[in-house]
Amino acid sequence: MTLHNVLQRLSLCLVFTILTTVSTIAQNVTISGYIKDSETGETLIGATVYSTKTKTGASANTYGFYSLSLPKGDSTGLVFTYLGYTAQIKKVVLSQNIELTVKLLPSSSQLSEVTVTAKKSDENVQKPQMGVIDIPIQKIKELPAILGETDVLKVVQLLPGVQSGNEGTTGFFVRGGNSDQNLVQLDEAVVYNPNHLFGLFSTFNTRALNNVTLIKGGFPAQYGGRLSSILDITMKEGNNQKYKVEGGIGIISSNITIEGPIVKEKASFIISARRTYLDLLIKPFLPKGITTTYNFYDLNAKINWQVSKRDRLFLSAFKGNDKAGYTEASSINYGIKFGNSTATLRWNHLFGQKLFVNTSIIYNTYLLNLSTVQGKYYAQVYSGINDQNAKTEFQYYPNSKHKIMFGANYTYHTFTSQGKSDKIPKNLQLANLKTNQIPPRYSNEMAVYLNDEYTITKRIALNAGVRTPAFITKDVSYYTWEPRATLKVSVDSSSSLKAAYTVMNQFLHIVPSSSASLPFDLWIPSSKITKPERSEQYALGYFRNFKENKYEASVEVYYKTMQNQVAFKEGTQLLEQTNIDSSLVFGKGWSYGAEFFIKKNVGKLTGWLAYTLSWTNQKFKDLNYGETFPFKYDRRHVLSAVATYELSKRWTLSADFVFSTGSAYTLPVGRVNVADGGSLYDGVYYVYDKRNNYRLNPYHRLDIGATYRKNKTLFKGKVPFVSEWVFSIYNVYSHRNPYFVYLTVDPVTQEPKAKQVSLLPIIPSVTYNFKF
Amino acid sequence: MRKFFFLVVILVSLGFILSCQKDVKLKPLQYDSQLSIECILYPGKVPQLFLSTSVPFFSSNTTPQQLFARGASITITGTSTDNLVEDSVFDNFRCRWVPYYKGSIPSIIGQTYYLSVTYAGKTYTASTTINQPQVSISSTSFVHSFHDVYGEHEGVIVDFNDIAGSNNYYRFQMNRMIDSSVYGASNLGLIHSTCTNGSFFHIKEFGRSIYFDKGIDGQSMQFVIEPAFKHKLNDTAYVFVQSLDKNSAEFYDNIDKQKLAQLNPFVEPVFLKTKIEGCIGVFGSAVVSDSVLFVYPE
Repeated sequence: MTLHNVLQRLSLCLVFTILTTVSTIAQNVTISGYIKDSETGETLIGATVYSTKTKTGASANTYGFYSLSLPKGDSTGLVFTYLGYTAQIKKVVLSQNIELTVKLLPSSSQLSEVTVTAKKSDENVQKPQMGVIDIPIQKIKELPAILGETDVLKVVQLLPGVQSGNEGTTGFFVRGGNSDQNLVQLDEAVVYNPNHLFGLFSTFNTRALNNVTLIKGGFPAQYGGRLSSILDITMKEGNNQKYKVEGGIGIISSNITIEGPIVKEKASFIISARRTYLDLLIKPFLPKGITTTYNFYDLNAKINWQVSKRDRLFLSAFKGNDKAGYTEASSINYGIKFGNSTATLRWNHLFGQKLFVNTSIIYNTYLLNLSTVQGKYYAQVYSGINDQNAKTEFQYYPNSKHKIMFGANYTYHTFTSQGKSDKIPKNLQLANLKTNQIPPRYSNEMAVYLNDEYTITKRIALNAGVRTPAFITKDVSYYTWEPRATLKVSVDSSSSLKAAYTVMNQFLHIVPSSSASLPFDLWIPSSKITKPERSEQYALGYFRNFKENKYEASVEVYYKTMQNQVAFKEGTQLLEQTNIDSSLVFGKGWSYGAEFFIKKNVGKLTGWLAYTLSWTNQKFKDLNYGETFPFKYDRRHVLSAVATYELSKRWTLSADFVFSTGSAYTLPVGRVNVADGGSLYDGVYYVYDKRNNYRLNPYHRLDIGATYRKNKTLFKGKVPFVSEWVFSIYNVYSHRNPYFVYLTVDPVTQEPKAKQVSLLPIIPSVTYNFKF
Repeated sequence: MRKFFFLVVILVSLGFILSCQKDVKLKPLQYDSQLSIECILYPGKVPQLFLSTSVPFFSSNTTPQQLFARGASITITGTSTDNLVEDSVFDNFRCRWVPYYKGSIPSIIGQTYYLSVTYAGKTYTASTTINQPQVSISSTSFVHSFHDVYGEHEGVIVDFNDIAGSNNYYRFQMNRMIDSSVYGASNLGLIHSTCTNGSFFHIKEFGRSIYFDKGIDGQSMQFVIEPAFKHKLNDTAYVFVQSLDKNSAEFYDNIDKQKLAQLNPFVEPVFLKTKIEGCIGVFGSAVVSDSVLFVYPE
């Protein structure tokens, strides 16, 4: 019997156990409510509450809601904590159910040098979850910024198990997965391409965000649809106490965020916009013969309304667009337009104190239109996705031992994708794809799930669940199920061992181009030919905190298999009439590695050190002579170090350093003469021994930054005004990191040469931020 | 502050514009040179076998003379055994000698031939049967502009009827005289002969594309061929259609696809599969149609 079968049976047992356990609840008192920021009213996602009497606790969900059941009896102390906020202790009498909303004070607002900062919780050790990293937004803002733009994805790429592509490529890569294997959600809406400017910035404006969580293993059952990671981003709700304006003026872009109450403590809004003017700035400095246009913008808006004590509505929207063009006589030329739009309507409802329900209706679109010219050839890719999504999730807290989640999710996808490449015609008139003639492909994706976070004993906890996704098109239907389990065993009060097993399925695919250097993101749905991708991941971890959780350390090892990976057939040239599915070959991939992470959470010096040692390989029957070959982003070593130092109340210094093994690419190893009539072959053909046989030079880069902060008041002391000058230098020692390598052949001697293209040298920047 | 701001803007702008491009020396991967055999038998012609060694990709050895595998013992056995000997032919276009191994017994149709090449202590064997049908060209014409996977190009149009009842594989052949004013339509750049001083010389060119009759067995077929060399008004040429054996067809089709992938950066790379155990290359045969005179109309 395989592990998969065992887990399938265990999943059934889990359902039974939950039902029986929940039905035998002892006399308990439930304390529930919201944990919020006292100054803004923003919910504090992941804040914890802890009973000093029973030594049990709970954490706030995405909406700041918590529910903690304690045995009826005497009073207890409840400690509410959140990193960066002053802890609050409330004494409650456990005689009847209590509704308790707590507002925590940000520790930064305390002017004393000896700030009583909340002790960091030890959830990373105690919770039965692994491969989960919360990234504080404040930390993102403090790190050195490329061109003055702080960036969520740049920080995500500094975490263990995560790596960036080459400079200038979009997306990020988690535990050997391709970039399409990451589900990026903004307020539950899928963002298919979360990048601006070829991955140099993310599409998310940090000022509009509340929380960022990355899950790369041990996935709870509510998440699905991608093999490798979930990046769950929550927008701010808007200050429900007073109006605030926040903005930044940078070298390439500026942004502004306005938030405030619509009805104080009842309803609030936030609107945030960012626009670049890089194209206008660059124009005067361009050498003759080069033309370039580049601009992007993004817009976030959200309204929330506390309809009643038990009902809350949220309406959020996001729109981000990029438009770029570059023309030079002897280089790569391109024109690109892409963008994401999302709209989410959510309704929170509380049934009593133990059952929290969120229902969402989501609409999102993604469009990429890329044309590129390289040498005598051009290519065009058009990829359009339109999703209509509805979901509902129940979070049930029957007692202090269980946290049960169940729900359903339905998405109607429309895909419009095609690509073509051809030689440039003599009249130089490129025949563009007739995008309105690309036949749309419709599909239905749905899932139901059940998950329980079960504290079995003081030392042992289990997070187990099952998800049953389905994917239906007019030609084919796929039904499957995914057992998930994470087991935690505490070694002592500050360390634990964890093990996780997860199965994931993915019904949407990006077909990666092995040769194109620009983002060739051709999204297609599963079909009769293109089967769903499926992964199984095993992970083991040791987690330990030191010095009252000031330091977090962990070592995780994982092994992940990925079935039905897609790639283009050798020699594929996309034409307007090409059936993409018929141009594909299918294989498997597997990745294994170890991730080391140490993080300092509090104090003047904070930051982390992450090191990942990993191997990722693929095997396709019809590629590479059927032999195993390394994945393009198989990188043996990835090291990142991040540090922030509070030099004084006004100055904060920061730095980050990254090093990674170069990514893999394919070059021929040998040359053979074509002697007999080889004129049109240029007299030579190439011998390839292995796909991805070469490595780009290692990538390394140091960035530094300094922030000067000044507090003053406006309007005769009535309005506090905070200003910041952010100075940063990207790639301090201007290391020419490789973007890609290509070959040229001397027409007379026929001797080949390799050329390396690099993108970003040292880039200093300065940004002025303000807040009032 | 203003000066600083403008300095930063200039640096940033330059960073984007001057995306650095430089020659890099790549550490050569371990590559053991392989023997390459290329031999197509034509009925009525003596065998011509090109034997060379492959070289590491970044090797500066590029000419046929540098790569020729000397001292091999080669036999082709049909009704009798033909011992091939070293010979060479001058390539007037590239102005260099091309060494090869030459047989003395003309091949005949309907015969199976066995190749044996012994080189550096190893023996390589292959066989081919010349049993392809000969086709007749029904017409030729010219098109100024034609569009296919190779892009837009002029073309010589060749019409003929496929021979029904077998899987057939065809390629184009053109023989003509050119002078040093004629450029090769090389994808690497336009080059022309620098050693013929304007005098005419003979060239033979083969089409890169291989045409399969799958699904059109016995029906009329049409090629539109991009000639390998430039031409002038009223230049004349003799046009042929070759019927290849399966091995040769697959081999040259793969090279064609590989070439396309090298030229077009948006085409996936192609790994060649060998047709001869232990080495690379092909031993095959072709039956050539009767020639048709073609006059360039422009």
